[in-house]
Amino acid sequence: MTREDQLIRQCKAGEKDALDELIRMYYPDILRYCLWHAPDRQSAEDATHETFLKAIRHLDSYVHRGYFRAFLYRIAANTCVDMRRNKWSSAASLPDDLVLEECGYRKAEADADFQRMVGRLPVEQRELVLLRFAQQLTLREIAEVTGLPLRTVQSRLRAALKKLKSSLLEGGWE
Amino acid sequence: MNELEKRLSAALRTDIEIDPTHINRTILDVQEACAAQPYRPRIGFKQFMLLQARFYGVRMWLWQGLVLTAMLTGLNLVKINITLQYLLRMLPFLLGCCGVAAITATVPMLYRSIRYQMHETECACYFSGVQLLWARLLFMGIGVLLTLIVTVGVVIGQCWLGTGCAILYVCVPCLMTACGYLAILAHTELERLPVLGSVLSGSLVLVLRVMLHFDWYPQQFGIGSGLLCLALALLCVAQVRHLADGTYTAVS
Repeated sequence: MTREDQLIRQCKAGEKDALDELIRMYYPDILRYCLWHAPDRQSAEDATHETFLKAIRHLDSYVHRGYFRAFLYRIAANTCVDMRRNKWSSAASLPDDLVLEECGYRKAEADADFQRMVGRLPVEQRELVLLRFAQQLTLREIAEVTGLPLRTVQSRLRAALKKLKSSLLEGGWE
Repeated sequence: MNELEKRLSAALRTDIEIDPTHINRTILDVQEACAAQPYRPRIGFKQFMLLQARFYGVRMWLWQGLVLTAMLTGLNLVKINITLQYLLRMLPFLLGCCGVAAITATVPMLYRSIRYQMHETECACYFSGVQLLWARLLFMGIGVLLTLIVTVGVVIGQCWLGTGCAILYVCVPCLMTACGYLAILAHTELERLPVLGSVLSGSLVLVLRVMLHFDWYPQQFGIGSGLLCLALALLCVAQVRHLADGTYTAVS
């Protein structure tokens, strides 16, 4: 039994400490995900906050089969869609400033290039690339989050990578 | 992971600063929301089944008892009104009809129960639709099994047929009907169950009548019949597993 399994079991039994630990465990990942979709940090924090509130409301109906992370991401994805529709007036953009603060200039520039290229991908491919490479979800978890068949996830990711590779090659990447 | 994927991960997996006040506020709000939620007692599947038996099982079994009584009365009426020789000729068909009827009779209750499942779920506890369906199928299965055992027992008791033949004539149509209904539940929308189910049961009775007309009924329970029963039982299990995989979405 993993720590996650134990925490979920304790949360369902109403233990506050377990809830605290579970939120601390996933908060950074969910915030990072929301940052990709929200227009600014404040909106991303609001979306993260809302995600955890919704998750706890639906925890009773959640049957744990090892996909709690996917369950959270699915809620986060829906929350971001809802908030974009209702509250966020400006279109969601990729946060270019995320990396620049901590990395060297050249690496940051290269990273920003990557982020811009990912931003130019079609929405359905971009979401999969972000979940796979920014959030490090497994293909099965991505299938759970997006509700797509596993094979579709694989083929869309492959197509996205092919597109990215050709863009990079055009730009002289080795 | 190839070079491009590694590079992509490095570029996209950015470090972020977490604001401790915000995370603490989230934890506090979540704990408050958790405390405000009504208490829902946790029960195991066994206890859930016992609760469901009160809401669903008893009604289903009473109904199946009525169906069984009607079937046995019908068989006795036929026995009184026709000669033994003709009865023996008709018996495979009649038993087949009993097998089909045992399943078909439960469908209206099953359909009604699935359609208004929220009421039963709320009354019993918070279990998933699949588990609720399991409970219904289990109650239905227990009733059907008892019905068939009594029917076959009566036929054997009256020395009308041998044990193997009686089981064969009842089981094969019954398993076919069960298989058909489970396939309908697993692969089509619930709204189509009444129409498709009626067509299925009607067709099976027609097939049984045609078999009687052309004397196609096997005269004893052989290996072929056993294999047929086994194949049908496995098909039923496969459909139930398909339902349990979570693909089942009771009603929109």
